[in-house]
Amino acid sequence: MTERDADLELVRRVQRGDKRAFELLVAKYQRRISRLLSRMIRDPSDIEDVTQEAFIKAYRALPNFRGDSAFYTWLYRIAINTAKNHFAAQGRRAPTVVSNDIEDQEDGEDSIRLSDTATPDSLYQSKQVGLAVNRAIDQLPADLRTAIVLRELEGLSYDEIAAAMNCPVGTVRSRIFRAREAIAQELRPLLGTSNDERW
Amino acid sequence: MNSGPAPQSAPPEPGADVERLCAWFDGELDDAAAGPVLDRLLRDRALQQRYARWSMVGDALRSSEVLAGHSPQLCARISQALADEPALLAPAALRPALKRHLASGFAVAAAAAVLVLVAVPQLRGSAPGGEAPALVSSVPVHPDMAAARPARDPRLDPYLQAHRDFMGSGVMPAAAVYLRSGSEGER
Repeated sequence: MTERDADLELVRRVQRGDKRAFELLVAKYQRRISRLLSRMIRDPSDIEDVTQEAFIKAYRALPNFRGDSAFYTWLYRIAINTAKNHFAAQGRRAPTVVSNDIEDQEDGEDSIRLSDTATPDSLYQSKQVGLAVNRAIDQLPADLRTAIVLRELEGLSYDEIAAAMNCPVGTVRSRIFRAREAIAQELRPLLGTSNDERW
Repeated sequence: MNSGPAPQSAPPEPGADVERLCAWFDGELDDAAAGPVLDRLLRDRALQQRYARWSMVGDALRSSEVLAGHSPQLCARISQALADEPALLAPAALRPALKRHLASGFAVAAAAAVLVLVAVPQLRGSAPGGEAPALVSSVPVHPDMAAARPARDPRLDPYLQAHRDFMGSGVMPAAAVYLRSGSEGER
C-alpha cells in the first residue's frame, strides 16, 4: 500500500460511518489547507472559517468520492471552491487559481501561484518554526537525520531508503519512527501542545 | 471526539505496534497488517495524538510556513462541527482496489479470449462459419490469464462475427487481428 492508499482506507472507514477517521484526515491536512487559503484570504479568522467549511463540505461530499484522484487533490479542489464562494458571498472576486496547480498537489507541492498574504505574525511564527525544525534536525544522529530527510523531503520509499543507506528495511522503519518522535518533541512547546492535549 | 464509543486513553505502547503505525502512516505496511493497525488507531486516543504529531513533523520539514498554520482550536472546531453531522453510510462509494484489479484482469482475459477465438482459426486458414469457434485448448495462455479467463460468453458472438467478416477482406488479417484486439483490450 502507499500513503495515498492509507488515506483511502481512512476514507473507506468514514464512508462506513466512523467519523474519527475523518478527524485523522483533518489532523493531517488542516495545515496545508489553511496555508493554501491564507494565500487567498487575509483575515486569519476568515481563514479558519473557510477551512472549517471546506472540511465539512468534504465530509458531506465523501459519498461521492470514488478514489479516482488522491484524497488531498480532491480536498484541495473543494477548498478552492469554498474560498471562491466565500469571496462571492462578500461580493469580491477571488484571486485566480491556475488549473495545473491542482495537479501539482499530487506531489504535495503547495506551489499555487497566488499572492502571498502573510502577516507579520504569521511570518514570525513561520520563522520560529523553521528555527525549531533546523535545531531538531541538527540534534538528530546522522542515520536518523538521513532517513527522515529521505522520506519526508525526497519522498523515497522504505525500500529505496534501505538501498540508499545500505541497511534493512526494518532499520529504516525504526529510524524514521525515532526521528519523527524526536522532532515532534522539539516542536511541541512551539505549537502549544502538551502531553495531554490533543494536537 | 464525539462519534461512536469513547476512544480508549490507554498509555502509548512503545515498540512494534507504534512502529507499525508509523509504517502505515507512510503507506509502507502491507494490507494484511494495515487493517488491525487502523482498527487500533481509531480506538486509541494516544495513537491518534501520535499520528497528528507525525503529520506536523512532515509539514514542518517540508515548509515552516505550512506548520505555522497549525491551529489546535481549529481542529477542535471541526470536530465539534462534525459531531452535528450525520454519520455517513456509503460503504460501496469508494471503488475497492480488488474490483479495479478484477476489472482490469477481465479486460485482459477478454482480449486474450478474442485472440484465441479469432486469430487461431485465421492462422489455420479455416473458413469461418456461421457459428463462433470453440476455444482452442492447445494455444498456450499465460497462467494468470487462464485463471481469470471467463467461460465463453455468447454475447461476444456478434462482435466476433464482425471480426471474421472484416478479416475476410483484410490485406494482413493476422496482424490486423492482433492490432485490433490490442486496442479492444485497452478499453
